[in-house]
Amino acid sequence: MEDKGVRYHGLSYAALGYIFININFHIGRIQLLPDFVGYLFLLCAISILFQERRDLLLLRPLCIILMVIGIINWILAFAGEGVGGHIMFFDLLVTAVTLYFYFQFLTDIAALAQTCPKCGKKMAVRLRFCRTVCTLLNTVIAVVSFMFWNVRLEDGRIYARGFRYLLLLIGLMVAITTLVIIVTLFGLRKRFRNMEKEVEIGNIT
Amino acid sequence: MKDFWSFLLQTLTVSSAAVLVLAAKALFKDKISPRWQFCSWGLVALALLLPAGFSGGYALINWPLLVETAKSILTGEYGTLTKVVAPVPLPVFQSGKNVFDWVYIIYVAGVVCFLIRYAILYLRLRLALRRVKKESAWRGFICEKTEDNEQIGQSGIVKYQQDKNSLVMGNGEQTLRRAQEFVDAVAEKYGLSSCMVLEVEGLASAFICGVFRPVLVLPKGVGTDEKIILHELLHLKYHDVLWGLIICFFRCLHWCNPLIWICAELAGNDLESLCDQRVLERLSGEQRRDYGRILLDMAGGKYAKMPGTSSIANGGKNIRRRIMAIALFKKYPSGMGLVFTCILILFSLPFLVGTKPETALGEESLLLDQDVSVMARARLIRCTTCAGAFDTYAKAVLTGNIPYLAMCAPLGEQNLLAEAYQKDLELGSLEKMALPAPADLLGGYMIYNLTEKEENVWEGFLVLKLSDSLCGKDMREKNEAWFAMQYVRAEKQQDRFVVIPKEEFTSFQADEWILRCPNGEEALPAWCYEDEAEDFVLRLRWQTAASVESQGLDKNGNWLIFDPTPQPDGVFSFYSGYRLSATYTGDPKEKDRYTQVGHVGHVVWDRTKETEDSLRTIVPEGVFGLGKEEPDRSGRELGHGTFSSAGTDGNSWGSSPLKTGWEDEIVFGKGGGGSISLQLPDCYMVELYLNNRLHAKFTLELLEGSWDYGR
Repeated sequence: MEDKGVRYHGLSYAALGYIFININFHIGRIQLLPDFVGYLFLLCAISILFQERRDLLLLRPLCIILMVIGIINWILAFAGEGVGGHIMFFDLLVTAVTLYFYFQFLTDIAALAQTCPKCGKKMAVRLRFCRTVCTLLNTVIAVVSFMFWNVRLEDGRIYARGFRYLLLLIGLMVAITTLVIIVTLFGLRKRFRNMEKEVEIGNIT
Repeated sequence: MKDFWSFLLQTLTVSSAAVLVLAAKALFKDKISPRWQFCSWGLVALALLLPAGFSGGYALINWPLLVETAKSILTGEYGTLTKVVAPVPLPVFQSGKNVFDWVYIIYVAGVVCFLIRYAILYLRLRLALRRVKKESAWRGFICEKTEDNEQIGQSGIVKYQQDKNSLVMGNGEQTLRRAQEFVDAVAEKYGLSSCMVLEVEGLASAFICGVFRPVLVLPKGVGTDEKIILHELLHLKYHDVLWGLIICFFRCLHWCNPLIWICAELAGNDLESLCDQRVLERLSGEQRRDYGRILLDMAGGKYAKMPGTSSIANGGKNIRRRIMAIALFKKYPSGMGLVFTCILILFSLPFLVGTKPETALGEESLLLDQDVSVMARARLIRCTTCAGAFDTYAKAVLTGNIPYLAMCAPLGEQNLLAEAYQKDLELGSLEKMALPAPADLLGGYMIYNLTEKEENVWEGFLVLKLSDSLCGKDMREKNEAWFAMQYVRAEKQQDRFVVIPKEEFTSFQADEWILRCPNGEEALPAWCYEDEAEDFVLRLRWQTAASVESQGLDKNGNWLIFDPTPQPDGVFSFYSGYRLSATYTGDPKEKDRYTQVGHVGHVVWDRTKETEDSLRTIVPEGVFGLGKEEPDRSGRELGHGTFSSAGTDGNSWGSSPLKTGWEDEIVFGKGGGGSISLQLPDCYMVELYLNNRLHAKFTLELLEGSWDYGR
């Protein structure tokens, strides 16, 4: 009984975290759904779900790092600045942390989904697929962005235009995949809640 | 590496890779399995194997700037650029000119000493093992692998099980044979290949020696556990001795970089941890705990390391780290291979592709930096295109900026430029750089009549507008201005384009629009096309121009103004223009019979591609207006690149009236516009109409010798 509550609440936080991180509304320079709030939700999700998946605890320090970067970015955004794009060394490490964090997080959530008796396996497969696609696409984005800024070609303008369209296309694909992840997380949450109710009714009767 | 500075650049670049790997390992220490921990050193190996800056950029940190600045400060040298041609030190045959040459010689000597030291240690070990082998062979101990021996191997494993999981050595002739049988049995049990076994007295632990003919050396008279044999056989299977040798080689190459020593130590330990993981993957339950206990027993001991060997015992401190790794063995999240591959690809990019070096030397960096640093920064910025070099040169002249000039000047002139910059001299004080008057910065520039002399060598006229204050009222009314012109050459030297002025600046006055588009301006050289027919000579002056688009917004972000920041990667926009005139050569008394003049012309870019008909019938449809002045256009076809005189409405074809006693030279007009290339037309076909009747057809050919500038 308690286990099911843990999953429901954990997945709620995870879904909210994903929404805050991936959906952005701006009023001027103010980000209405700040990333750091999303990481705070994910941190809550990790703190709850680690009872089910011990590996999730490994992500806690990485989540804190990403949250701190999110806070700094949110504050710097008021001055039209950001922490990225200044020191490549730092950018590479942050990209690595981000890639790893989402990959392991979704791997663990997929493992959790597998325990759901109804459609659990199907959702796990979907989550793993989205995880792999997202990781590959985000890597391609990082590689293409790097090439965009650093490769010197004599007719650089033409390539730059090509890169821009490619990035736009990949970005669109990432957005769709992220949307599928969010929907799946909410769907999984619902399944666990129904499971809880069924168990409760079973207990009463 | 040919000198101290290139070694410094290489070792600093490798250090940045090492720091990146160490930082990533610290971040992911409890998340990465030993397999990936070891793989991550591949990034440092990549940096060690690739010459620093081979891609034209730098990796992660702008070490070239630091090295160049340090070199300029310490040696006063500005005229060379540090370049790493090979990741290994190349021999120096000349005696040291300065202290840094001697430092480099000491470094090379150090590399040689370390290599010799390790080679001697390895050879001594091999010789000692050969002696042991000979003694054993003399006694007939060494057994070749035969079917009989395989059977013995099977019995050996039974024996080993009886002896409480360890090979108990006894005295006598049978011990080595039994050791070989035991090792063969362990190899067979785990599906590994075996190798020759030797026993040496006084050894602390077993080890594998050699790459091509490996030998497993066991301590004589001491029981060796099956798991230790398994560990060593796994080293054999995965060629860990070779990896160890590679690590040793890199340590020799960068013997004076402590960070590389630390990395070599950690990489060696990761190799052992990886082998531990492979052992544990083949063991289960109690056997795993036993393996841990074996390592624990070794934790307190001291073990000598030898190059070309691989041993389970690699020092107490390292063993303690490995025990920690074993404790985490089952806790590493599984299935993370994909993301670590992605991370490694990402991390390798700065080393493979390089980080784009600075391409602009903005006003901010000029203000913030010290003299030496600015000049080092300037000479590090390569002009990668001919257009970029011309643009940089033009903007250096326009702004009077010496660092800009350093960006596109040959390396041989860098010392002179640095001296001028440090003495705060003006650009005009340098040879061939003096302008007749201050330049009008916002006027921009054009490179006129750009010509490719040979591959990667271009020449042309740099034309700049001079200050408006020089222009008198008359000139302003005539829309004229003062300009300066200089014949310049851009050529590729090594991997950069440089600009060499071929003559001093000269001034002239001309139509103020010549910096927007060429129009056959007479004050500037041009290609001349000419033909004579009947009583007229037709002459056409053809000019091309090129410039890099340099329009930027003003400080308020409103107006487009000329941006004087050089674009060393810039690409040209091309323009071309002409001026067509007809000169009367007939009897002056008869010229008044002509009262109307008009023309139709057609540019022939490549006469081999045009048919005779299209050359003959040049007049296009649609350019003529209706009316009396319309020339006969029966059988005429639409042609590309047609020009003609215009009628009074400005759109339709028309002819102009000729006043009584008109000048011998009739200028039909001039014009031009954007162009896709600098190609010269083959010829021009022009029809001259007098009194609205076709008077003559001209084929204007390029006059030989009309363009011999710079030859």
